[in-house]
Amino acid sequence: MKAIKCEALTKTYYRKKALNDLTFSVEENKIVGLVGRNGAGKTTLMKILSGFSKAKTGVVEVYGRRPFNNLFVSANTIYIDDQMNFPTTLMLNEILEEGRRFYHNWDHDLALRLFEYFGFHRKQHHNELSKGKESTFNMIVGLASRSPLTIFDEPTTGMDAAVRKDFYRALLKDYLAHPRTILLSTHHLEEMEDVLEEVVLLHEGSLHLHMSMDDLKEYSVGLSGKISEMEPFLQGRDVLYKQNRAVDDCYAVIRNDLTGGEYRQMQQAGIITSPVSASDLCVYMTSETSGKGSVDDVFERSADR
Amino acid sequence: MSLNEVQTAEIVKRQIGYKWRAYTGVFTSLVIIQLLGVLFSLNGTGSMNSGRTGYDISISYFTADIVIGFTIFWGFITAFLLTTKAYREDDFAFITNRKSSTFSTIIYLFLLCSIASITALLSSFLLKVVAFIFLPGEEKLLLSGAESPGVWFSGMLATLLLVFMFSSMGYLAGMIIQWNKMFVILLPILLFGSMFLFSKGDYPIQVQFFKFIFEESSFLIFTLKTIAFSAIFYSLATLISNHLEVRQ
Repeated sequence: MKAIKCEALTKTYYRKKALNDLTFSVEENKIVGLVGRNGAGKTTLMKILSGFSKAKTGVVEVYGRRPFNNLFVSANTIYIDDQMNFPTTLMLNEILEEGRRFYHNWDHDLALRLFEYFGFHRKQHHNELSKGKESTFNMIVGLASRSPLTIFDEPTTGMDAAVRKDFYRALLKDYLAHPRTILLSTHHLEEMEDVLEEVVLLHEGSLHLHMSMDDLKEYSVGLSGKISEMEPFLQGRDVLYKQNRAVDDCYAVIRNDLTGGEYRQMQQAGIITSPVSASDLCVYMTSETSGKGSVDDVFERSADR
Repeated sequence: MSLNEVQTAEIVKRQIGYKWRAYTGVFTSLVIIQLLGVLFSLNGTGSMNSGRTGYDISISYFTADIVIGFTIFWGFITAFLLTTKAYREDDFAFITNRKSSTFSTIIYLFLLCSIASITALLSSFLLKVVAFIFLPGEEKLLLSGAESPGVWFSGMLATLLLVFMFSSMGYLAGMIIQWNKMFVILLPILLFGSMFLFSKGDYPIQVQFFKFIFEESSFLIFTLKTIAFSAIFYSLATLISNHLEVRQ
């Protein structure tokens, strides 16, 4: 059984399509990263999967059931984001107690140990926490719930680098000890390369790419060299990204389907090849193609006037 | 990780416990509003004066009527507030669906109304004690409450049913507004507008309604009427809540 299955999923907010004909599925017990630019539809997708909002058209299934208004999905899913709303009257340890009462797989021991480690006080209230602390606490709830499908929407918002690192380790350790499906959206893909197994890249509400992390790292190659030398190589290829750096120097990212012979030719032509990180690749693949150019153009144009 | 099947009844039970522990603020507002009711009642809820040469008789009645009225208002407001986004999202922090969320809120409201009606009726004793100790003059306090525990109990039940019925109205009104914010304006307009129209046509609907409920002499029929109204209002609210999205 698939943990997540979406077919031709569409969701609109005020006539704007947040999700557009999205089809993908996730196997059980995988850690999947959901990436995409701001407004790509990551949060919308996650809220539909956790049953908070309803898809307009298309089929969505979590463990074979439709999530909207479904108790089974609610019992086996937890959705963690930075806007978690807990009753303001409850103290932090009381919130953890409530979690224990609700979730069958809840590991209270783990929750308390993480609670101690990150330096929370039992008598604090959730709304009095700082942004980073709040995210950390929500993360503890997410990990301790041991939900078969755990959804983290930008779990690291506000966390400092050290806490983020701890979070990745905690996530990985707990996942290895208790495998489950984890869907996680992030803007820090470069930090999570070692944690994620698969990457789902959304762009403007549609699926742009869904592959394993290893494949994604090998997917493309970066070339830099003189424009005149580069042109013949780029002809007829899938150029994912191109940027002119200096007067006659340019950097391009292409699909990594070069043969050994082509590599040698490039070296002779003085073109330097380099690997492209998954994080950079995702940014290149989803960069605006409507001819707006880079943010530099915004400033150059205004200076002219 | 193994998948867990859960029963609606189990989650409703958990949700009730959760709400009981989390929404302690409602008790604070209950205490405040009932104390306020007691304060307003100190003037006497009804009085009679007669006098002749040589003597004056002034009779003041101290009853919990105002406190009960205030409690009804509190029930309406509390139920109304429980439908707001913040409270609904609290439910969805843990396991629930709309059905279990609404059912647990209704049962929780019933528990609240029970407590509120008991304290409202007990406040009549507080009122008499306060009147006896603090009121000036040479009053003679004639204590007469309900004749028997049976009467007192039926009074409590009647209060409970009334508060619960008004809380169902608050809950329905809140749900309608959550469903579409336009109803913040539309609902009062429709309500008072129809009252106005019916009064013009010599059929004041609000008067009829209050007669229908408050002037019922048979306790059994009164019970049936209030329960029927509560059931209708709560079912409508449940129907609406089934379509509400949360946390979008």
